[in-house]
Amino acid sequence: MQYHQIILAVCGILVVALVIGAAGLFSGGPSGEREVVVYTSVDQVYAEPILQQFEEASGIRVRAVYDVEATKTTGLVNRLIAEKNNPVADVFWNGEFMQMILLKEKGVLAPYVSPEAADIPYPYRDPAGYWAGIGGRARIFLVNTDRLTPDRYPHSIVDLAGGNISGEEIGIPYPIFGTSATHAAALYAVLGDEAAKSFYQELKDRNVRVVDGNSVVRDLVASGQLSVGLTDTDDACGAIEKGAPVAIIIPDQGAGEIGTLIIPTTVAYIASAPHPDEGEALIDYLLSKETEQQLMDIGWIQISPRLNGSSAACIGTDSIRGMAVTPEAMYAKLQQSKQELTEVFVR
Amino acid sequence: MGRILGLKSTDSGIYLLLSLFIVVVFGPICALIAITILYCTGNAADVIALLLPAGRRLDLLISSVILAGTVAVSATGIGILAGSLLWEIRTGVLSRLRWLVVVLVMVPAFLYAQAWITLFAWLHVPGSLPAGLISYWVQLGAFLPLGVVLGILAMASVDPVSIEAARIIYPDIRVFWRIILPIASPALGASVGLIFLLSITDYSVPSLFSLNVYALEIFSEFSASSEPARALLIAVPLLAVTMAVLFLAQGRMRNLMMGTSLFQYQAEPPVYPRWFVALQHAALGLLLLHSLVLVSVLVLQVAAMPEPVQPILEAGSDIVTTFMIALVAALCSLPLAYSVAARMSQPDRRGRIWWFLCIVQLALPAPLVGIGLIAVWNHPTISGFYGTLAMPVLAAMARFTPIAALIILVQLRHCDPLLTDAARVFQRSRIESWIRIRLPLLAPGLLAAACVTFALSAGELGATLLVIPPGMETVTIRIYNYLHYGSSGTVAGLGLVMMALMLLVGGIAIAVVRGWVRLMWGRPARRGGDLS
Amino acid sequence: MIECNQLTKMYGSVVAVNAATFKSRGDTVLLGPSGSGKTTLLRLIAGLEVPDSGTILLDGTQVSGPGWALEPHRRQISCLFQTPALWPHMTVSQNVLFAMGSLSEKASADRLDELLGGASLSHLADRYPRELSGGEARRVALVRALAHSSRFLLLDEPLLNLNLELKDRMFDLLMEWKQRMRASLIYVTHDLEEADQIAGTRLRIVEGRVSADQP
Repeated sequence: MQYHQIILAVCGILVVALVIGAAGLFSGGPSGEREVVVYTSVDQVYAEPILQQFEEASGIRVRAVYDVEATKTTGLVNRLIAEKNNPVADVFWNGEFMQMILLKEKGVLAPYVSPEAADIPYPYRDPAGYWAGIGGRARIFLVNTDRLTPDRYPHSIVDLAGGNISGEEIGIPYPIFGTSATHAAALYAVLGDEAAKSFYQELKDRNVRVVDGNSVVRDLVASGQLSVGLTDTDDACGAIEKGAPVAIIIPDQGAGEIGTLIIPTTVAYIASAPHPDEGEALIDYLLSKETEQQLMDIGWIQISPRLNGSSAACIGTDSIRGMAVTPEAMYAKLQQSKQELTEVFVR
Repeated sequence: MGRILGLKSTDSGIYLLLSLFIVVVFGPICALIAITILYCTGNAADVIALLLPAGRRLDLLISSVILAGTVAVSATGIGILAGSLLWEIRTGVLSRLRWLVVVLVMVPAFLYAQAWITLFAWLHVPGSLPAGLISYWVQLGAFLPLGVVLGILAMASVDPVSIEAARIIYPDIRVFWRIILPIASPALGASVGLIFLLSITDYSVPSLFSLNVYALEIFSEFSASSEPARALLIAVPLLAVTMAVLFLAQGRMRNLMMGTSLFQYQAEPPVYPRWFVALQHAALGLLLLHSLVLVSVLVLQVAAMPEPVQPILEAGSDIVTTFMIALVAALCSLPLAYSVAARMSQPDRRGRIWWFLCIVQLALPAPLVGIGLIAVWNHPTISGFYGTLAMPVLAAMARFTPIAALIILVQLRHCDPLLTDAARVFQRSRIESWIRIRLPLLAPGLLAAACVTFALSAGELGATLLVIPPGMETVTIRIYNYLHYGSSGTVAGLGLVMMALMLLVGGIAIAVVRGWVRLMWGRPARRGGDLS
Repeated sequence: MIECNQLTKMYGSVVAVNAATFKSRGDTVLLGPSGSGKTTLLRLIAGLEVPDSGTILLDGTQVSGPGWALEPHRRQISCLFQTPALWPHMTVSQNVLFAMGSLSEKASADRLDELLGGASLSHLADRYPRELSGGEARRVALVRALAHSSRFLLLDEPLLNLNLELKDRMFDLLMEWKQRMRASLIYVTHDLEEADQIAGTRLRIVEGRVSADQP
């Protein structure tokens, strides 16, 4: 076979592959059946089973896009904003609530008051109906019980900045992304701008280890590389379930103390959604008590305002006192806290 | 003008391809610029502060440049040492196995990071090691295969006649410094430039080790403000630095010697002093160390899983999706990349303009490309197109077609233009000439470009996440999801799957290139060595 | 007939061909020192370069003008370059057959045998260019140029690096082909003896300027 014939044959095979691939390219588009498109930042391992159950129960096909932590929340929220004029998504199912306020401001959301949200108390829902939340997670300390004795356990968030544990033993996620950013904004709102900034500056000065996310904190504490970490209850409970020598401390629960941040999982309806009825059906499902219980059972959420205030067993308590601050007040501090803390930590 | 193209200046085919290139690659960036201009008109006071790094941000930029520069120079220096040793292995199994380094080039940096993090945990290495040092070490390991491959190509690009002429006068070590390195400098310049680019735009590895870099600043701003315009403005200093480095590197590449002596050996291998041979072996040892850690940690993690195959089976549709996106992106990028490479090869001002445009695109952060794509393609009139897998293909093409163009350009530089001139004179038709003459001559460059684009597309995350159709996922997205969840065994398994994919693609490419080299220059056994 | 009018080609600030004007019926010999612009002029005539100004006419038909040029394969020309430029992935036979064009299989085979035999290259038919010596490669390149049907044969130092015996044989082959095809040569050389053997218009090119040569 001459060389050019070989080349021709290879080119022919590649053209065929290209055509087949191109035929597949136009898959992924809308099919004829009922379907709903949901963007979600809830971890895929938790969200996927819930969405599959909805599919089976309703007969509505679910097409989901999952966010990844590595894109530092520049992912789905910015995708929703960018698609605002021609939305693809019907529903946004979020692992927290601050971005809901941002999206509402940007005109990405439309109000929908689900009948399932009737018993959801404020501040777990938007007063105008733009979003609603079910149970969620809380910001907690995860301590390594092999490295720390109970007398050294931190009890307040401010203990991280001046307690009896050295800075190198403590780990926090970057307070400029995700739920850590929300927590920072909450501290700004509760403690005041100067006090909150000083707190974080003190953490920086003490060489507290600042890492890539809540799961990294969890892993470092579980493996014994850190004594204490600031993380979310879902990550912490995951470590406990795997048998790591760790314990959960819920900060600031004493009388007169500020409480800890509780982060509801929220759902919102996208303005001009392509599948409005299906979107509403999915929102109703995600806000139902049954789904909330299921999310608690599988470990995504640990706190619920509706399920008799009960918390998952791994936390070890029936009630958690949240911070006395509204979502709007926290949101008002979000950009400032992110920018100031970028100055502190990203250098 | 047009010698390499072999076409009249008014050829509509090439202009169509160039137009497509502009739409696909520059469309998103143009959309971003439009968004930024709109933002600037309403927020003029912010613009200067965002554009000009000062204080903390300037320190961050400088430290990022230092890290990237150190990684680039180290990887290139170690790469030429290891490459010069591997190049001289002329017989036996090792002469074939050395090309496996090509596969390692395609492994994403975060897999190396995960492997070292896991190893450090197993060995109870204290977490107090300097973040900069660990980040440097891991990035060095991740980009060293690229340095070694370019080191081998650097050695292969030197005409053995030039070396032999010098060996008559000087000892081999002096020939290495005075003759081989200067002639090989275009490839070395390319190595420094590319590795610098990859390092300075990477935030995933440094952030895993708590090292702050300027790339993180860009994402931090984007996260804080959700304004792509602000992120782009902050990215401008990084773009400027990257473009400056790439321009210096491409200045060497543009002077690449045109020769047909690629992959030819001198009759007798060089004899270097012991200290140099020790350095060469140390360099190769470093490459082997990083490779061993990567593969063994991944394998051990998978082996420790109770059901190692299950997560891979669950990811079956993701694997197919990833393969399709990468394959279509690789193939579709080739004609566009070729048309641009032909323009870039011209020594006039137009060629330099095309260089500039390609380099700008290389330095743009991935999520901004994604935002630009949404701005260009998400319109009601073409929404059927927007919601399909065509979008991640376009994302990959937007990001990596310029790299394919650079690779094809190297091939064009090595191609004797008289061969194309002869085809232009003797052809009966252009199609026949293309099929029988030009495609065979360009085959290795096209194949290398396709393989690199394939590998990069498979590992692309930032832009893909913004445009992947709902209900679909790539392996990279799944890996990152599981990274967050802490399923290191699943991550390791999927990482091995990705490596296997790269091995398949890289293996095919290597086989074809080796066949091409033998066809063009024959088995170097006649000249005293075995190329295989 | 070949006619050039005020033909100019520049590379940056360097004027390679400077307002070349000549008309030539039959064969043309271009003499000139190294770097004088001979090859550039040949390439312009071949259509491999586009002139900045001026025109080229072949047998009365304009084939090049300022900023444009008819493609080489439409000019009915054949070329022998300064280097052999044999396609490395094709054998000697394949190189020649590609240039030969559309003939029947038998006619192609006969013509191939004739050309290779005439140049004493039959035993190299299945060799690849990398397996040829410099002189052999040059002869193959000449045979390839002769195989291509054309009105004009552009030759850039065709007999370079050939020994005396081969030079004579190749020259005879060239002349025989020229007679058979009724074609014209455009012959670039710096060798006066070679130039003397070709009757026709004799031009000298110095620093890009063309003038009639006085033997």
